[in-house]
Amino acid sequence: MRQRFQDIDYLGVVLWLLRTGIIILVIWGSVATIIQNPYSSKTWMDFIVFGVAQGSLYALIAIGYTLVYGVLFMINFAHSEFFMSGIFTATILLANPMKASGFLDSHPFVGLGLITITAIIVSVAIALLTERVAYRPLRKAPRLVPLITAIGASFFWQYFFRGLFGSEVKPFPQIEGLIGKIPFLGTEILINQVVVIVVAIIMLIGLYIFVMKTKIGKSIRAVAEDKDTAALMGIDVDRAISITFAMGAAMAGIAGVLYAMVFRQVHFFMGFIPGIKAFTAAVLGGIGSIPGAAVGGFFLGMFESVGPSLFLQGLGIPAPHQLKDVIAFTMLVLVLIFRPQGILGERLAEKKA
Amino acid sequence: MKYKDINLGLVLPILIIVLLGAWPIISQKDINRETIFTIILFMGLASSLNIFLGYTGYVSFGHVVYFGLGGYVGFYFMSAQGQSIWIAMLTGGLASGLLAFLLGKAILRLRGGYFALATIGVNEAVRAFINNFDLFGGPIGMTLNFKVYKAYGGAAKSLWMAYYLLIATVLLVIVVSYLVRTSKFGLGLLAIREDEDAAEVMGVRAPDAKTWAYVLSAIFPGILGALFFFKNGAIEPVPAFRLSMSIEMIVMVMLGGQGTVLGPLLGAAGYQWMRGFLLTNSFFKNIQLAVAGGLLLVIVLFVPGGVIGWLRKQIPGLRRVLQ
Repeated sequence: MRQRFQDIDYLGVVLWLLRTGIIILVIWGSVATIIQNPYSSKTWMDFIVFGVAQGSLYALIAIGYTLVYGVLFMINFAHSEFFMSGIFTATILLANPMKASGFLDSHPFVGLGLITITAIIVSVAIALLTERVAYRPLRKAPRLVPLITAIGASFFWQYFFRGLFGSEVKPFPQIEGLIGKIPFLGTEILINQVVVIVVAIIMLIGLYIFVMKTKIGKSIRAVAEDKDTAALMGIDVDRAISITFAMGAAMAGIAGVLYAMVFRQVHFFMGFIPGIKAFTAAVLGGIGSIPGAAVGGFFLGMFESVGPSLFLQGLGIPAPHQLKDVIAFTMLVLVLIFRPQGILGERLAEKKA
Repeated sequence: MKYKDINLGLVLPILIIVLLGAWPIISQKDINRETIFTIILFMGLASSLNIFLGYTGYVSFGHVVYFGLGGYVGFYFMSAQGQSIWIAMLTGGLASGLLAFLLGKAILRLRGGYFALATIGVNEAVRAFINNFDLFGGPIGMTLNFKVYKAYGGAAKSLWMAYYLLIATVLLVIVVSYLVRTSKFGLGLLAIREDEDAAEVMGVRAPDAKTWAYVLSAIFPGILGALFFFKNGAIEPVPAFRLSMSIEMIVMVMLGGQGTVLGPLLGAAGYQWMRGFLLTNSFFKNIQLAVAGGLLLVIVLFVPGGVIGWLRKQIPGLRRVLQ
């Protein structure tokens, strides 16, 4: 017994107090909000649907972080730029000219398909180039070295695209046929949010099946397990890693199109905040695990959308929705402090970063 | 003191700061002072970051948070409480050091990438918080009452005083950086950089050592932030917590040579010179930071030791001089 008391240091106590304090605050805020009952059930429903839509975007982006981490044990900071580059290029070169010529209004789904394909191609090309130039030569270097090139690459692409397409916020045109609302459980939800959720779920399931069932997926999992042994078994390790990057970037490209559909604008810095939040989602779900990225994404999306109104309103904090980003970034730091292995993860990430 | 005891590794960086700093004083021109102020400020920031990044090998992407936080806390004491610049520098440095201590204790248990990302999270969280914090002026920020300058004999004199204080602070940063590098504590940090597990086996208390290095590297940006925003006269959340400044600090450290005392000074001067060139060029004006990112890639891939590391490798005779 005495031994166990000695093991407790003051830091542990402080962290424990912090954790308990946060939990009490959250419960207190929620109860107070429920008693005050400031919103109708329709508003809550809107929060939830928006949270799921937002969460699907995070999940799609988080897949890229998780796949690369699973294979290389490396955090790919440039991933948010894969997300930005595809949709930014597709909007400037395709969507806006098509809208101007009227093609997008007469053939909305053909147009959207073309935009999506362009976005995916650009995202994948940027990803492969980054992997080849910035990461592959450093595969044997200490783990922190690729981290520095990753942030360098991220900055390079941001300002490269800024130089290419300008620094202003560009509008993304409205797609005919995706405007309006449909009735759902006694309320109405926006069609484009439904599209986001459905597409994201299909892509996530498709990717999971691809990684688990196909031969290429098997080779990726083998490389993730042990690169040297995989190479001895006749697997082309470089190719498997390139495919991993390409898959993550394709997901990010699709996420970019969905993001533009919901928020109707693109700019060169648009990848930064979704990127960090998706990384939070990936860590939350247990980095390295595909279902984890999905769970973490949906959880973070819901938390961000419902959280401010639920926890903060009751505490008497005015305009809680403005604090959305504070909540998300605080959550990132707290998750890293208290549960770096995530919800689904069992591997402790400490040694591998 | 015998000649042998005079260590060029320390004298050379001090000489650079003193000579560079003396130029505006001799010429007594405000425009020279402004140019040199920025260069020496970045030398100080890069040197502080180097104490952590260069010696322990950990990367902090959000180091600008200490600059901004120190600036905000110091500014608050000057503008709202009517305190002197000394109190501002002290509280700014203390606030940054305290935040670094708490974070260091909590997140430095994580290694590498997780830590780096957490630092970005901290920077964004602090910025978003201050954006909504009425005491610090929210999104509009704060401006300095003219009366504050009067206490130091008017605006012109205050700016010169800020400049002298800056030089003194940066000289202190360099001495601290040198002392850390040559001490047993610094050797422990360098061991952590090479192999943290092995260092722990050899008796380095890695978590404590990392935390103190982190605190040291955060205190000085806090002081410099208070000074810079005193000179600036106004503070807003966006310029105070600009993430690209963190990245530029990393570029400077890597360019000059990480883990050396002299390197960050050369890196800061070189990068500032390059930026001046790029900003006046119509083609590079908009993609100035793309060049910074590309430069970082090139350095890491081809000259990982930076300028100093390269020179030490090429001319072994210089090793005693270039530290």
